Amino acid sequence: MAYDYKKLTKKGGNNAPGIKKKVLVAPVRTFATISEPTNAGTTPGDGIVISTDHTFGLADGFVELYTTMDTGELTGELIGERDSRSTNPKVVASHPGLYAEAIEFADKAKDEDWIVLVEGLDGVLIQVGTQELGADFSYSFGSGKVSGGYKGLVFNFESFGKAYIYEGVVTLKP
Amino acid sequence: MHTEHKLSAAIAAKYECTITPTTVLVPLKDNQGNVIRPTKRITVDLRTGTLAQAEELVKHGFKYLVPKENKPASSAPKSEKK
Repeated sequence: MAYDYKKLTKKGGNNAPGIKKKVLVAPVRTFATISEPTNAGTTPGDGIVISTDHTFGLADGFVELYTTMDTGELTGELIGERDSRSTNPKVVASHPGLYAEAIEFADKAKDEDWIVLVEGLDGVLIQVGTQELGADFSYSFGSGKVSGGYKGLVFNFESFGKAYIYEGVVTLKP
Repeated sequence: MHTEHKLSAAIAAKYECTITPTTVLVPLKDNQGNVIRPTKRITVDLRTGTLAQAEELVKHGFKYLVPKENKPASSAPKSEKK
């Protein structure tokens, strides 16, 4: 069925840019269920809203990842070629410090598929990654210089397909 | 390493939890069960939370806290012996 376009008007109110400092991440393998939009086609926008809860195994849940203020950003670009388009939602953020736990986290994380939730300043949670196309993780790190710079890791999560809005319950790892 | 995660005593007095007790972020919903936009969430650690916080979660559709069933008849106060 062809998509029924509706007009888009200015919403008004708060439209502050940026994401909050805590990014929530969980490996795809730890979920009991990864929900998807269920009301597609009934109300405009519902096709990208996940309103059913993601659930986890007994000892799992989303893990908070602290990121330095104003380093986090969610982006997405059109990819592919004419007649064959998609998008690639990405989250990039910096985590301060080069210490054992953070380096090990990054080293292990590169071998997982991820579901990532980033929260805009308006409280909307954007999900990057799906069950079939979990977000890929990569990272870089640096010590900074004595004269300045940033000592820490830069995390990158990238997926392909749509970014979703998650409105279910968020369960943190116990 | 196993760590025990228990529902707080205050919440456990009235509810059973059907997930591992942990910190949950629950979106606020209206009376029809629709998420109120712009989105706001209540954050509660079920291991340390109060009954009032639990009631608030339930009010907004948090389905993993289930009221305990009424005590079985065997636990009802016994009639006085004559």
